[in-house]
Amino acid sequence: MTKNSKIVIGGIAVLGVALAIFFLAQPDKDDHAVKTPVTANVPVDNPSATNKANRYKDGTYSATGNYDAPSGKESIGVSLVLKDNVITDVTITPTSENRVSSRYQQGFATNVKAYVVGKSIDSVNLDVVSGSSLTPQGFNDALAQIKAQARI
Amino acid sequence: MATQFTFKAIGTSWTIDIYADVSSEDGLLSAIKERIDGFDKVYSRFRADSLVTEMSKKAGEYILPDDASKMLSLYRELYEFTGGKMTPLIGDTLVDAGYDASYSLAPKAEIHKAKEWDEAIKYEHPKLLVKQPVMLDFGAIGKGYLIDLVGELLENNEIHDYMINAGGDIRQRTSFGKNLRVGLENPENQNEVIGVVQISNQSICGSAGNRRAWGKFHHIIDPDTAESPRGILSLWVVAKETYLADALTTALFFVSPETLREKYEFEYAIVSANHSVLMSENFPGQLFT
Repeated sequence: MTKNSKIVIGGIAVLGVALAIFFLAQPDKDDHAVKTPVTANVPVDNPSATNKANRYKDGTYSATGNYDAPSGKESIGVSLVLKDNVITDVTITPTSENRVSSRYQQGFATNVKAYVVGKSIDSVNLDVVSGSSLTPQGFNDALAQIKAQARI
Repeated sequence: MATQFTFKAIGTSWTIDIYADVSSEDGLLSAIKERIDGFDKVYSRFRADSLVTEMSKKAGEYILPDDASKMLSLYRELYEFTGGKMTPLIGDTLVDAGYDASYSLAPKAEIHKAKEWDEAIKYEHPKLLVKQPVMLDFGAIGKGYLIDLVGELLENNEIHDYMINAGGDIRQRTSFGKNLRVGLENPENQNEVIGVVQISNQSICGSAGNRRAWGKFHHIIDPDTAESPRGILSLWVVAKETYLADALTTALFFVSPETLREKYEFEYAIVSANHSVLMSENFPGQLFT
């Protein structure tokens, strides 16, 4: 997994631009992704686009974002699933044929969905573990008592 | 390794590994425990006999020990840099929310927002003027700082190869390039790690949003909204000094890493509530994805 946060930041800028498109796009009633090529000119923070109800309809929104790279004009496909005002899924479709842009688009696509998973401590070669498992005993005891009494 | 000390202090478990022969183990362990207790007696809000408890009841001018200077300076710096989000005046809010000295964990009907620094206290080392009784909380930096002080004690005793682990906050020093492999605990499963980090002459601190949690709160509370920030599951900071790593693990709940990197040198990994991860470019480790 790449850990280049510059790619993520650059990619987030692209995503931000692509997100702006969704405020103009319509969700498809059958929940299919709708590909609407739209040039991104609307800034994400445009009040007239975002503040009216401050609530977005659940659904799948797709669009292709266009941007200028040193190599020329590029585009990237973005699809979001919105549920209860939260993005629950993102799919990035790199469309670039340019080698450099393609690498950045792939990097962004990878970073957008880097979800951590756990591995058993015994399976990893470690000297020590850093975490916050060692909560003060008094705190844990108090919590256990309170939960038993169902006060919280 | 030659010597290992394990003991409980300041409400958590300590392990100190010393990679050298120690002439008087008992003498050294006593000195370490004394140093820790001395610190606790000044800065802890959980003991009735501490200076902090006294200051929470009575206004007045107090003289702080020498070690206050470095910690209070960093607090002031971060207080200004984070627009007041990181503050030692969060104690009263924590107590209102239920995180008091007896761990009642019962939030009061009204939870007070934190007072402004200049309104409540004035610090000109070594004098701390407490203008009105206020419960100070040094939890954000205190443990990391105490780890640094214990490290200093070891180094003053000609020990330059050691690891101090106090409840998962770690300081390692080496004179021969030893690497310490540190697992990053899975906040949702203590038997697992979600990554591995390698440090050498660095410190690493972690913080999680789901530990020391009760009702709608966890141990970090926003001083302006009196709510606990959601969105971060856990994060780790690697920096040379433990007090800085510890401070930044709290600051990162309120301020972006890019902003803090303008002023401080550190690496970080932040795991969000949805399990996605953001890491600095040179974070000395990998997360399992």
